[in-house]
Amino acid sequence: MDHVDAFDVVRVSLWLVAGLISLFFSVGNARIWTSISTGFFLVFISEGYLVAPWVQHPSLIALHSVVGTIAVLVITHGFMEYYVFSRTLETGGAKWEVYALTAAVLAASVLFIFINPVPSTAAIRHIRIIENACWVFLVLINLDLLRKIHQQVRDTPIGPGFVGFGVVFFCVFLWRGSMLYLQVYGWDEDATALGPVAGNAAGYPFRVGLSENVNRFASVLSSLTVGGTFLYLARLMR
Amino acid sequence: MIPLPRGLSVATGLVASHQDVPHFLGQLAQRQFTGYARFVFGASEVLLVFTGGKLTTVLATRGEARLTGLEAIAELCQRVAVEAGTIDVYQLGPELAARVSGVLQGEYHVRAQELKSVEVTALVAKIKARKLNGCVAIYTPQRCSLVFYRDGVGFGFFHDGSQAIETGATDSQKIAGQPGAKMDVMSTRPLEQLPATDFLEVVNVQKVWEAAVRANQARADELRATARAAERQRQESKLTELAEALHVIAAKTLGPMGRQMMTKELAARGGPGFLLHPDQVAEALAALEKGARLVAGPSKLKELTTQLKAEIDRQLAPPQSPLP
Repeated sequence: MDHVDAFDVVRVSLWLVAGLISLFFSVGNARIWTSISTGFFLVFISEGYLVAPWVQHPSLIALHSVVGTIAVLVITHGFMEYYVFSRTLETGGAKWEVYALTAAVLAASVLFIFINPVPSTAAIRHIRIIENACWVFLVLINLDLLRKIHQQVRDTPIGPGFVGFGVVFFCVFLWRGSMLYLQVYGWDEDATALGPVAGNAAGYPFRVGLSENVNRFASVLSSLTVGGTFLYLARLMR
Repeated sequence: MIPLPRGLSVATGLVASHQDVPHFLGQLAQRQFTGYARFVFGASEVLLVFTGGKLTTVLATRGEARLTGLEAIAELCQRVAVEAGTIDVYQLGPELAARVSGVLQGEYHVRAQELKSVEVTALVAKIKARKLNGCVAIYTPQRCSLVFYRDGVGFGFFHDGSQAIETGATDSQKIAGQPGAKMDVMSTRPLEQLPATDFLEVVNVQKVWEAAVRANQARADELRATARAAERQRQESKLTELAEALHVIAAKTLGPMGRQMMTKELAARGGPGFLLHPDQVAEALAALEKGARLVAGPSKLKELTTQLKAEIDRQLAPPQSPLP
């Protein structure tokens, strides 16, 4: 546990709270919320590696990042469905289908990780870059979807809640974008450990320091805004 | 048209061609109705006075021609079977109903005389001198008032809205003061001398009606078809109005999206006609609620569906029976 610092514990705890709030919100609410809520709960799972005792195993580290990627895909799928609903007023499907499909994708990911060689540090770094890249680009798509959804639902009781999700995705963009920035230029910890792909971090202390700090605090802000937004939605949907 | 004040309004403007005459009269009798019903057709009218459910007086008029009793009932059936018309029903107290019977059976001394050409003091003196038992009707096309006389002395009034004989003369004076006001003077028999016949007992109205309908089947069919078409149109217009009201309620709770949801549910069920079927209304509300769950919470949705149901019930409530 010597790799765990207090900040990570706080961060993961806040994601746990945010994930639980989002899951509880989906209970008793419409099916489309299940995808969105499940996605945010998976963020907690993916962040759990920071404090998980088995974190030293490379396959599990990789798996956490894969779960993080699946999280943003599920969230995006949820918001796309909501957007389709807001334009066509059509709803369909069942909650169990969302849970089953997510579980199947997770199972497939586990299978993929464990039938392949134990990932090297470089492979883990690649998986993390893919995860952050997915988050950054899908967050941008989600922000556009939220804008369009808000135009449709702004006069309904839930309308203001989508502004909350806009704040969430802005924080997530800073969180994931700052890490992607560090990874692309080889200024992240994994690159430093790998040596050959490491960038000249010492040559850009301000950019690297700023990105690292933005990454840490935006992660916390993301979890707080997720929890806060779902609580706000629950209030709006009473 | 025989001038009579309105009494307590029970039903006005009923479509005569929608009525089955024996059933209509039977309903009034069954409900122990006291008052009068006036059937108005293009060029004629029929007045029926009931006392405690007994049809005591029937008078049909067409221009100067007057028919009473069986002939008047036959005329009524004939007119309803072939002609469009309206029915007004007014409730009266027993004494007033009897006085109205007397008026309908009375004898005119002066008819449709312009009041401005009448020397009122002289007229009153004349009524007194002749010890008139009867009444003076003062009327305009819109309003009417009767002044009852016994032995030449006025003893009461019948104004619009009255159920019993009144003592105040204000309404009569007001009508008399209006431009174009006219008057009739007639003598009537004392109440105790009025026949106590119940025409519903002595006349087989059902047979008279069936004969009238048979004789005018084609015309009656056409009238009923027109009435049905009018009813359909009225129903459609009512449903359209209801659909718009539902849109407004949904929009009030859910904004423009609520309006769209309502439009979608109406379109999915082929228009507002389904609102007449409670099971389909329940389905539509459930579908609306399912979609609306994505934008509003349970309390708002409960409030919305309650308001929608209440509006549907209010606008589609079966009409109250037109009769007392």
